[in-house]
Amino acid sequence: MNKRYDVIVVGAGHAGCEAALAAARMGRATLLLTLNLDSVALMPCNPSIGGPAKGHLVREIDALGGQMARTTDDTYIQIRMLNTGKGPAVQALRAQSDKRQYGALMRHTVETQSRLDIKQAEARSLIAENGRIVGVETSSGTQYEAACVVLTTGTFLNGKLIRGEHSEPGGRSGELPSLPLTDSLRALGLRLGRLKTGTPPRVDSRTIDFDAAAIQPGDTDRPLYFSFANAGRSAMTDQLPCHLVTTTAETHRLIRENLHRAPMFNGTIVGVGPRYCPSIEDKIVRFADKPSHQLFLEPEGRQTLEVYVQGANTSLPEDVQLAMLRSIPALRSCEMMRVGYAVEYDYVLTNQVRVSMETKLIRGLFLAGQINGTTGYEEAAAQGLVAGINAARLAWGEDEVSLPRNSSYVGVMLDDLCTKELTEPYRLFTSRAEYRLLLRQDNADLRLSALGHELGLISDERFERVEAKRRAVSTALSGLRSTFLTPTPRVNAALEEVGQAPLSKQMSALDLLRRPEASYDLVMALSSQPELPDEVREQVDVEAKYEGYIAKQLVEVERRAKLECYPLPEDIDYDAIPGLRTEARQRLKQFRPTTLGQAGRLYGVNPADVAILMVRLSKGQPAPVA
Amino acid sequence: MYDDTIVAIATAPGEAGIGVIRLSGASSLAIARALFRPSSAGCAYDSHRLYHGHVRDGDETVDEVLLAYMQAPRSYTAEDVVEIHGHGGPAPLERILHLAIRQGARLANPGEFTLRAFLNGRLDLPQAEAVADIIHSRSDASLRLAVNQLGGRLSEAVDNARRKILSVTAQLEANIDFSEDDVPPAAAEPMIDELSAAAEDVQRLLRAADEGILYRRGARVAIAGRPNAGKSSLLNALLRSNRAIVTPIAGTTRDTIEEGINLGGLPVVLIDTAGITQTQDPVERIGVDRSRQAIEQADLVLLVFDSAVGWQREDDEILAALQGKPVLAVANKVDLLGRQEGAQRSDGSPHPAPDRTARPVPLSAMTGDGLPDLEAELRRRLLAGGGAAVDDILVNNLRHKTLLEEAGGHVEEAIESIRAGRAADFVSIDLRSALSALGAITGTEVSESILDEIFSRFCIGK
Repeated sequence: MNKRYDVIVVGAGHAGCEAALAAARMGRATLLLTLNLDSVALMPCNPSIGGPAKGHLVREIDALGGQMARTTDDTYIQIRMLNTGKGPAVQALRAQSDKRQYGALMRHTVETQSRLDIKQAEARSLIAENGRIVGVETSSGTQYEAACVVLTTGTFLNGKLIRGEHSEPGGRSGELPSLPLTDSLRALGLRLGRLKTGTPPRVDSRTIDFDAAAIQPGDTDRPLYFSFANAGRSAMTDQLPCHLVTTTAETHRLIRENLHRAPMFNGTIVGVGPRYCPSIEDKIVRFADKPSHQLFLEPEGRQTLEVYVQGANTSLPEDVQLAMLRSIPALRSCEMMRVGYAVEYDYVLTNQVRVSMETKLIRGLFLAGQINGTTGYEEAAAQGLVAGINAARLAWGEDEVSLPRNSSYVGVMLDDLCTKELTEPYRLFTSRAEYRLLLRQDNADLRLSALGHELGLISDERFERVEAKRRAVSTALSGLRSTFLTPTPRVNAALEEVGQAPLSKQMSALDLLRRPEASYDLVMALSSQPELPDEVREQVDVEAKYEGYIAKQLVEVERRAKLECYPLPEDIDYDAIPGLRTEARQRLKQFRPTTLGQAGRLYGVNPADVAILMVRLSKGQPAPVA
Repeated sequence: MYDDTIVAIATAPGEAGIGVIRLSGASSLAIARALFRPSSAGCAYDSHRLYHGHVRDGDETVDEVLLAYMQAPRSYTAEDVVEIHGHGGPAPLERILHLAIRQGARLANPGEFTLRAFLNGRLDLPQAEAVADIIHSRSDASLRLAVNQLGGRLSEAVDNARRKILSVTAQLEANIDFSEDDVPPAAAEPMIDELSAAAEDVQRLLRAADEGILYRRGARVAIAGRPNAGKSSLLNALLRSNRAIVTPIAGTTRDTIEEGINLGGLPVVLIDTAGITQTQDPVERIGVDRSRQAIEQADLVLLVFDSAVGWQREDDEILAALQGKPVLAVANKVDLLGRQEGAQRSDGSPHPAPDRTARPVPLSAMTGDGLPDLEAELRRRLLAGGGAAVDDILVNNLRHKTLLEEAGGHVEEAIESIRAGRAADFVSIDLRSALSALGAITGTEVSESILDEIFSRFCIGK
């Protein structure tokens, strides 16, 4: 064997980079293996990061000490705050990334990270002894020894690229798949399933008639950044616009006439694709009444002319793709630079990993990203971070870290992966979170920095800044609570001037701020409150305006806390517990939940089953063990 | 806990033409075979087949019976079940029961078959609750109600409201999670219309819920009045008109008499009180205390007065003692002065019945005159003027009622939030709470159903 590592990470995509950086930053000797050093942190699909739930994830990754937010902030070419006006909890940042710069900067970050080695090599097999991982062997026969291994294979496991009548083995366009690793996983006893996803064609920006498209500029009038470390930076003004076009009757006709050549419909594709990211042919078949669909033209970077056609995922043959694009006025004389395709790949069926991302079967083997059945750069990065943290901890004999559903979207996702059977690639949505109002993108630092700090991933200096912010918010709120405004002519005149109802009696500054239209500036002007930094003002405003709703959700969290903390031994013999319904018994055996809360979330387990488990466990009888 | 074999008489007690003994559990068939002598030698005890034979106790034949074996899981409890259909009355059935127990079966607790069916996944929660109601229902009307619920009509009605709320929620959530997709904006008016319709669905279920609950548990009606006003004869008169279904109520106290009647499908317990005015006699005082207690628990009090002598000061005292209870006054003994006159007399001076008693019902307990009017009025008052057709009543269970009220409240709050122009997220919070309350009745999960609805309605895929 070669050099011994604490943690080996296989794959240098978004999950792999976070895992490797986290482990190394926690002081572990770490090795990152990639099939191709030139594809580190590649964005093979859309050139954007963030959006509802995904943007929340990026901020949580940042608060836990991950890298994605910082790299995005340093390389984005456009940024916007989505969902303004729909409530503070669902606002979300979304950035258009410069793909090449993002990858280059992430590679540089990985390369310059101490205790982290990065090597180009194909991991051919996993070496395990007595149910415990001990290392990795590469295709050249080199063996690397490690206490823990994090596997982040993306779409490479037995990957197959499909376009029209043509299909070929491949992990991504122009890259070969990883076939032996699939066999290695099967040999270890893991059960695999198959999923499908797709990507649209890219066109040459010189061949687009942008005058025939609607322009979509970014937000340049205020500073918007993912990382809390970048609070205080000024607004990014040099942004590139996206453009919006729509499909035409001719586009739809072309697609319909060529459906027999679409692998989705002629049986070539067996994997299940995501409902939220359907191919253009699927949209036209399923929503036949819709006369047109939106397509977004998104630049892939500053040093390239490639433009991504968001919304046009397709696996139709190349000639149809081109004809279809040219049926849209702005693209009438476009040339494709890359052709769209579908990719089918193996993933490890859910219920085989724990919330720590460690496999139940092989001690020390962790999985993150698409291998767990998820899609999305952000979902992958978040899992990679958690897997990296837990692999690092296990390597040194420390307890695993888990994130509950009620304090982060990361926790919602990990729990979903342990309790849901996937019928499509898993993507996070804000509607998956029960306590959405508590999990805002604006308070991710307040929610998670303490954990990041404890893990050694957030510096003392940065943690102190977060705590100072927390104190400033609480001081400001108590100041508002104890300051009263009286209905003087001056106050009421000022209120009426901004279209607000005058006061009829004395009111606390906090109550005034509770009015939906009242801004902190107004309250500050009327009641001599101190000036506040933007990020403090934002918290004060949300806490004041939505206090009632927040309190309701906190009560609900409290109410469920008992179930969520109630541990279920993982080796319970469910067959020996009388009274459980057959379906519930099967699900419990299949998923082996670790808490009663998780048990209750399994499809097919109802409150009566949970009650039976609770009675059984609280009777003081030791649970029957298989 | 659930691994033994239970047995019970499955049919209602009484002199019925046929009675059924039911066994459930792993040893059901073994126990039955120990009692049963099939008439044909080739009896194979195939599942879901009827076999003729006799139940024997040693050499003695107890009853001629049919035996059916239902193999797990295709049985009511999803366990091995044997039913023995006997021909005799209570005595032979009791004997078969004892023989089964002697062979190792345990006498089932009330509702235990249903509990097992529920725990084994044969019934959903509303169905299990409905079966328990069938077992406990006291009249045909309440039985029909329970059957409605069992047939899934409650789930269907709840689902109607749920679908409307889900549709609005999906619209809002699609605008949040897929804000850049081609999702039509959530316009206030159509959402309010849809939610108002859902709120109306919930209210319709709730309107009849109190009746439903009353049908299930039965109403308690106390009969009060001064001595000799005719309380006991009124009780007897009401009983006589319901002769066929009079049932004595267990736990009758020495001083108050309880009898059950069926009032147009509504089970009613009548309590004849001994008197509630102050008395010096210590023995009588116990009776007074019991009567007061009975009145306290009653849904309504029939205050009987003697129309021949008119409303007296003592009647006033009794009325005062009834405090906040709903009261229906009965002007008894109209036969002594003619019906019309009685009604007039009780309403007119010099001693009019106070307003609180509303219009007293004139009747003669002696001749039975006016009795149907009283019964109709009593039923109307008990059902709070609802009078919904039994087939329209689907809720008769407090848990369901509470959940519906909760859901209705959340929908109203959501409507108010939309009107106030609050952000989508806040409207959605209330709608999700409403969905989760309704889901607790039908057992449906919230977040996946919202996603399913979004993907089936909107073309997502920016």
